[in-house]
Amino acid sequence: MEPAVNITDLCVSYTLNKKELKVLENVNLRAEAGRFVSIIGPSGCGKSTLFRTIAGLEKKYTGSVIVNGCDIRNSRPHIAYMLQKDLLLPWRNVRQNIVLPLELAGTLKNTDADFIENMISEFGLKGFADAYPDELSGGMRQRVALLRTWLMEGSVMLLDEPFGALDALTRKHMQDWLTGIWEKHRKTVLFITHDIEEAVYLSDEVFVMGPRPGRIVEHINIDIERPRKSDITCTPLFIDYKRRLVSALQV
Amino acid sequence: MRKFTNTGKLSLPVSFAAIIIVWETLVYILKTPNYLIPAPSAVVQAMIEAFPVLMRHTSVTLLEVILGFASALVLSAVISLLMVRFSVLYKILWPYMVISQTIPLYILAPLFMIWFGFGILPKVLIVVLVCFFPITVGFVQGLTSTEPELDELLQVMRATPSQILWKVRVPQAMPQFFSGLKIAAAYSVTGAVLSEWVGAQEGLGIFLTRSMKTFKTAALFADIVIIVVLSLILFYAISLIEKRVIRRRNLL
Repeated sequence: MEPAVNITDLCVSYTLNKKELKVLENVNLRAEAGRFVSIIGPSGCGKSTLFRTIAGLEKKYTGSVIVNGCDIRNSRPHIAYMLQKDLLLPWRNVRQNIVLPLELAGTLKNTDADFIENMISEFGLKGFADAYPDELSGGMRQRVALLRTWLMEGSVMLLDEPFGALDALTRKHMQDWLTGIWEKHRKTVLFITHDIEEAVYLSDEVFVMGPRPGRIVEHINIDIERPRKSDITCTPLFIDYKRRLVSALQV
Repeated sequence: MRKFTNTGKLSLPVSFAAIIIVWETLVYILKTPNYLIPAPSAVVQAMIEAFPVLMRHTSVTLLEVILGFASALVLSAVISLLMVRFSVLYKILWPYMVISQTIPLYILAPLFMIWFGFGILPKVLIVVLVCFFPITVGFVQGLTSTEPELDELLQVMRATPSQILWKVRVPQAMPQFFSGLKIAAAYSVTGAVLSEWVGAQEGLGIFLTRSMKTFKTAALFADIVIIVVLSLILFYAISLIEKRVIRRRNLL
């Protein structure tokens, strides 16, 4: 089967003060459709650059990036993309923010209103659809941003540290919630994090990146059965995966 | 914040009344002649006496202000949008706009009079000139201050340039657009009065010069009161519209 994302020998470099700065070096990454794949690495290792390249925002690169069988050099990929900043539009309420991608694609008119309402309640936003972003907590705002990303036309979702700015408790809660939602829909997700436990808990497989220039130093399959509940974080298997990731990150 | 707004409601009328009372008392005690500094009561009296004349002059000035302000609003909005859409226009036009603001108005006003006559047109043009700059500066700044991440997200969402403009940039620019409008509103009346000063048949500026030349200082003060009130009405009218347009964003 065709992988959802297939990256071969990807190199990206920036020019900074007339010096060439290698950001990514020979990155190879394959993600099968319907898998939850995390990318973990120290800050500044080029994780975000990797996502920007897949999303078609970084044009200067060598190597190849194939999304659903299409080389992104030839056609702009259909990708759903979410950043740590929620980037909600403050003058739109929750419902209006969520449907923005549909509105831009011109498909909002043909979208079933019930479908939107169902998604709103599935994402735990029922009763908040008419609220404005400044009335919501950080966790709620990330849910809104995630639902907006969910409705973006694209079979691959790139989530760049979506919970990075949340406090530990909210974050844990959001991880449980995301696992639940994802297990139901099984979309292809690429997920950036620098939290080892988060990576193990959420993912089917984890790619570990080394410090700059960013490259893949380890690839670990997380064979923990689903549905996953938060108590698995204390099982020996889970701790063993954590240990392997810790040592991979120390390379 | 709450405490501040509560006390704010009373502090303005109280301080205003205090100033008037102190002023009135000082003029009375020091027996200041009326042509130097008239007492508030004398200003009120002058206003009542000259009321029909003052209103005639006010209507002329108000017409100039409204025509000038409205034209500036339309012109600024169109040019700002064009400049943001086509950056080459911005590069060409922007320096001239800045230069236009460096030429003193009291030099331009007589020039406009020479070019466009003694009628209402040169006054309206001065008001346009006064209002255009703050509105454009505010709007352009609002239109171009998108977060770079949001720009990229919109790109990934495959938004077209015109979608980005109308769905994101324009609504996002509203607070700064209204700031510019308020500054323009506050300046517009002064601009009209100044241009009338140079040469006109009617208007608050003409009434001002006449009162000054005949040492009717109380009437002059009455004229100033009307200029201030007009400017305030315009300013608050725009604030009111602003609150309706951007209800939610002032919550923060």
